[in-house]
This record gives sequence, C-alpha cells and structure tokens, in this order.
Amino acid sequence: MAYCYRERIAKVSREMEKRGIDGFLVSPGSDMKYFIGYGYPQDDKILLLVILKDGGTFVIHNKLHDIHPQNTPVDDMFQYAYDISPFDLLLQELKRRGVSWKTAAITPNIPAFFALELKEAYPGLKMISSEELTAALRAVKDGDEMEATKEACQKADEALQICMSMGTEWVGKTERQLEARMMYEMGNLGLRNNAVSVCFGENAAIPHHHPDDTVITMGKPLLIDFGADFHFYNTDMTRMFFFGEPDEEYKRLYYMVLEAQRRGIEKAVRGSTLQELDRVVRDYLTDEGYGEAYIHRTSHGVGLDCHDYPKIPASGETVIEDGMIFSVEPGVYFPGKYGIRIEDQILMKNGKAEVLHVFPKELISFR
Amino acid sequence: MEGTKDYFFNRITKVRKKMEEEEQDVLFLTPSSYMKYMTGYSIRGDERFLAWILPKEGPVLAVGNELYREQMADMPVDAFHFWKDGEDPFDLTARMLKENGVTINQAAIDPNMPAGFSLKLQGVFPQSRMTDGAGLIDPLRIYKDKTEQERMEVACQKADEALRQTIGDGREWLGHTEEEFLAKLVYEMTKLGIQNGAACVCAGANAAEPHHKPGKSWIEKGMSLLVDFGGDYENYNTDMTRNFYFGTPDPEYEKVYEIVREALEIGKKTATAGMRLMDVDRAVRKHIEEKGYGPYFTHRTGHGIGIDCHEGPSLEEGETTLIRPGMTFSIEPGIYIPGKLGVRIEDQMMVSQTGTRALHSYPLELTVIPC
Repeated sequence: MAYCYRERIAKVSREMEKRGIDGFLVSPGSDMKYFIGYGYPQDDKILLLVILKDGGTFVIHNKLHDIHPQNTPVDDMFQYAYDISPFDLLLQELKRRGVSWKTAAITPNIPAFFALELKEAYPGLKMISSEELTAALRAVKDGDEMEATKEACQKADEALQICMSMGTEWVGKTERQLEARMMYEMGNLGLRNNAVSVCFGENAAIPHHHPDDTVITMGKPLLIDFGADFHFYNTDMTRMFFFGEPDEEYKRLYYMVLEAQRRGIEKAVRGSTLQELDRVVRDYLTDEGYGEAYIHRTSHGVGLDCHDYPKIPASGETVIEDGMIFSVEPGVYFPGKYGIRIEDQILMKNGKAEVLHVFPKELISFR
Repeated sequence: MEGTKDYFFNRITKVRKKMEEEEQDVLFLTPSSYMKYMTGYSIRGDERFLAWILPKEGPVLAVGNELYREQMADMPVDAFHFWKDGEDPFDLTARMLKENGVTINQAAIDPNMPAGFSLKLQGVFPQSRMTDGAGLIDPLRIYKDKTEQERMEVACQKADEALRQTIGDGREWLGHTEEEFLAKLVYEMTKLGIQNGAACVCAGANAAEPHHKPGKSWIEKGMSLLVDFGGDYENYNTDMTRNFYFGTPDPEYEKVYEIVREALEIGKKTATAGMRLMDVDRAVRKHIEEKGYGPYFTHRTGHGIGIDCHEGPSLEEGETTLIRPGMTFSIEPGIYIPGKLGVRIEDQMMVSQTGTRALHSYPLELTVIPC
C-alpha cells in the first residue's frame, strides 16, 4: 500500500518550524512506519530517521537493516557497520548540514542509552517527546489508513469465526492451543504481529492475562482479546464465549456490559470527548452497582500502534473528530471467578461512529 | 520479599556490590531483558510506566499500573506502589523514593528504557546524573546459574521436538512454500510453550542469502532446505539450524555439508574451559579455509545466548574472553555460495564444570528425504 509519506513529512516539518523544534529523531516503531513506511521492529542496532525543521531528511542504519534507498523517501541514507558508531554518524551529518540543535523531539522508544549519548554531545539540548509533534497529525486518519484498518478488522472477525465455529471442540484443549490456532488463522489471512489473549474462567478476571496451560472445560466463560495489523494498521477486539449453559447472573452481567458499550458508542459523536464517553459508560456500570469492578479506561486510539493516537492524557478532555479510530471496551472483573469485556473499534465518519467489526455480540454459548 | 527465589537474592546482592563500587545510588529497570534477569517479570512493556527500582541499600521497590498488580506480584520487591490511569507515575516514583530516604546523585538506567520514560524521570530528579546501567548486569548474565542452565536445556529440547513435529516424513512438504513451513514451525513451537518463535526458512539457493526472508519459494525435489529457528521458553532462548535435502543430494552440496559438519565438530572440541572464544572461531575458520571455502564463510562462528537470543561476547576474531563454566553460546559454521547453495549447522553449547556439551539432540547428519 502506498501511503503519502512526503506529505506527512512536509506537515510535520512545518509544525516543527512553528514550534521551534530543530530536529526530530525517529526510531523504529509507529512513527517510522508513518513517515517512511519502514515497519520492522526495533532491534539491538540503532536505526534512525532524522527529520529537520527545513524538511530535510536522512536515515542512519546498520548494514544489516532491511532498508533501501529505492523505497525510502528521504534525502540521504548513511550506513554503519563496525567502522563508525551510529551516534558519530549523526553528529557528522548534522555538522555537514551546518545544523546545531537546541531542541530535539525524540520518539519515546529511542533507547535511553542513545538519549544519554545525545545529551552528552549537546549538553544544553532540550529533548521533548515526539508526541507533542505527532499526536494531532496521527490522530486523524486519512482515507488509506481507514481502508487498511477496516480490512484488518474484517480479517480479525474472520479469524475468530474460523476458530470459534469449532465450539465445544475446544473443551479439553488449553488456552495456549487456542492461542496457537488463532495466531495461525490470523497469519493465514495476512494479519501480522498477531497477539492473542485467551482467558478462560478465572483468568478472564486478569485484564492482561497471558495464555497458559489452563484447560478449557464446560461451565465457564472464555474471553478472547486479540489484535494484529494489516498493512501496518491495527485491529483490536474482544469477545466472550460461554461453554455450557450460562447461569442467570452471567447473562445479566453480559448484557449489562453490552449495554454499557452501546451507550459508549452512542456518545461517540463529533464534538463529544473520549472522557465524556468514558463517564457515560462508567456512570452506567456504577449505577448498576459494578463501578468498583470496572478497573480500566473505556477507550484507546487505534492505528499504527495498537494503543495509538488519540492518547488519553492524565487530565483534560480529548475532543472526538472525524477520522479518529478508537476502541470502546467496557469490562467488569471478579478475581477468582471471571471477567467480561466486549470491545469493538469505532471509526468516526461524518460526525458519527461506524463500528468496524461485524462479529456478533449477542451472548454466545456452546452446548 | 518472602518466598523470593535464591537466585534473585544472589543477583541483587552482586549488583548492589557493583553499585557501591560505581557510586550508583539507584538502578531503574523497565520491562527488558534486564528486568527478566533481575526479577523474572517478562511481560512486554507498554506505554504505562512500570519499573523495578533498586536503591543501593534498603527496601527494593516497584511501580506499576493497577492493571498489572497480579502479574507483578511475584517480583522480588519489598514495597509495591500502584498507580491508576489518570495519575502520574513519575510523581509517585519521586515521592516514594523520598519517603524511603533515597537521594539520587547518580542513577543507573536500563539502557533499553524508552527515552520517553527516562526524560520524565530526569524531570522529577533534575539534579541526578543518569548513566547506562548495562555494566552492572551484563557481566553476571554471561554465566548462567543452575536454574538458567536447566531452562535452556528444556528450551532446546522443545525446539528439537518442534522441528520433528514440523518436518514429519518430509515428503509432505513438497510443493509447499517457505512461508508455510515457517507458519507450521512457529505453530508447533507455540504449542510447546516456546514464545516469540521465529524462523529463517531457506529453500535451495535462498540459503546463500544472508538475511533471506521466508517467502513463496516452493520446496521441490532436488533442493535443500535450511531451517534456522528458535524462540524463548520461560525467558531463555534456543537457536538452532538444521538442513534437509529432498531427493539425492547434489555432490557439491554433500561435500560442502561434510565440511561444515566437520567444522562444527572441531569447534565443539575447541570450546573448552580455558580457551578464548576467538580460538573457537579460529579453529572453525581454519578448517573451512583449508578445504578451500574460506571466502564463503561470511560471519562469526557464534554468539552468546540467554535471555536475549544474541547476548554476551561472540565467537569472533579479537574476542579474548575466556570460556568458563556457565557460558552458553552457539557454534554455527556455514558456507554460502551465492546463487548456488548455503549450508549452516548450529547447535547451542553449555559449558559446565565437567565440560562443554550441546543442548540439542536433533541429528547433525544431513536429513535426506527420499523422493
């Protein structure tokens, strides 16, 4: 997929000019995907994209990195092996361009050791997090980004359908086995960087449980929260499945969480805020008596990162705009018993919320 | 810190001793190999600040989001401080250290800590000098203790099993692609509990490409298949390479294969306690050179392995580190003739008081699949 990289670089350098940010150091991760389409994860060797406020760009990489001039929209590429350190290469090029830095934006996942070296080289340097620079730009997705996300969500639905249509065949198998099968089906559909959290019974009460050898049996619920990316754009969804006949309490709680989600999605309109959306969901669950059991936030932006812009700040309100993509995922958790969470991704279009998943949400049980 | 394993205590004591020597007041670790090593916590870091904080003396501390309370429970920590979404974890960290009477002139930072976090830490400790903490821990990680050795052994055996399960009778792979083999191998590894499984699957001449990405090349009669794969089991890595031939092997391939196998044997015999790591590389390289294929052995002989797939000193020219009990490293000679063939055979080795041995039991001879 060909994204409009040069346009994005131009936009961010204009923003840098406006704010007096001399340089922007980008390490492998979502910003690097965003600006030059390089999608491999960070490894133990430094790879940097440098964007200057005049729009100049260059890349510093190790000989072994799979990055090439023909598909990297930058002015220059400099490679190092054992001869020179990446850090010295950076200093060299900055000197050659006659650039001296007072303020630099760095992507948060640049390893600390590099930042420490930078600080030593430019003692007065002010380093700020790249988020200040890219948050607004990346929170609003363009047409290509929306298309890729939609496809990712459709494939996620499909993978889940293939696996869970096996129903009670999963009884006697482990969380790990279901995880492996999901990963396989997702991989087969072209989804990448798959992550699957399979949580059976009590494990569903732990929001970040890692699938283990817990055996799936009749009489308990299963929570599957999984995601991946397609052409770089992420999908992230959660569904519940009950093995056997659920009791009245489970049914009641399930439909309560579903209603909480419905109210949240209803609140997703242009001009509203993500915090208002969270309050609506939280107030409803609290009124029902389960405020204490709802231990996390309702939404996160989704995009190049699974947890993407718009990011929820410690305080303040995040206004919902067209082009934003975020999750709505209320849940209630009862340690030692189970947890229930339902999650969909929402795309804001023409002022309203478009749900990107079609996998059913009525209570599913296998008999 | 009741119930904390002995090995964490030992590591903490050793690191504190070094901190004393280097005048480090605090060590901050975030999810990384260093955190796995010092605490056993192995869940990938995300945008929520989670740190293990070791002051040079006194209570060991940890900070994390409420969501991670259960997962953090087993860490060797005297006092946990949890924060909720909406609270500032860095303020919390500063307050907590103040309450514990810790002043920071110099702090050692996890080198892999996202700079976004280290910037924030610097913000709440503006007078502190922050330095790279790798030097406190790297020397310890080179020598694996008994528990680590056991885990690596299990990891390697599982890798052997995953390969067995994947290759099957071999013939079933004819007409399939490198990608499909990769998917199946990762699937088998995941089923056995190996996480982060990855493989370089190279059909025929693709094996001569140094960083070939498994793709849509078909596995066909009359070609070789090189499989270099691994992952981690309970945090410890396995990394091995084996080769298969579909049909009667080409004479040159067979010749090259034997040379690589001999080189591996020589490497293993050389890799005894007291020798330098570079001696192993020299011995292996010498054999390949003597057989006339010197220019085609284009990489180092091996790498240390542990919590990271590549860690510690490597088996390469200039590496004077002595081989000592507790070290684990790969020995992986290879010969690559561009456009023609590539052979690499890799085993993971463990050095103990009684000698050096391979952790894999998968056969080292060329596996020929009749077809």
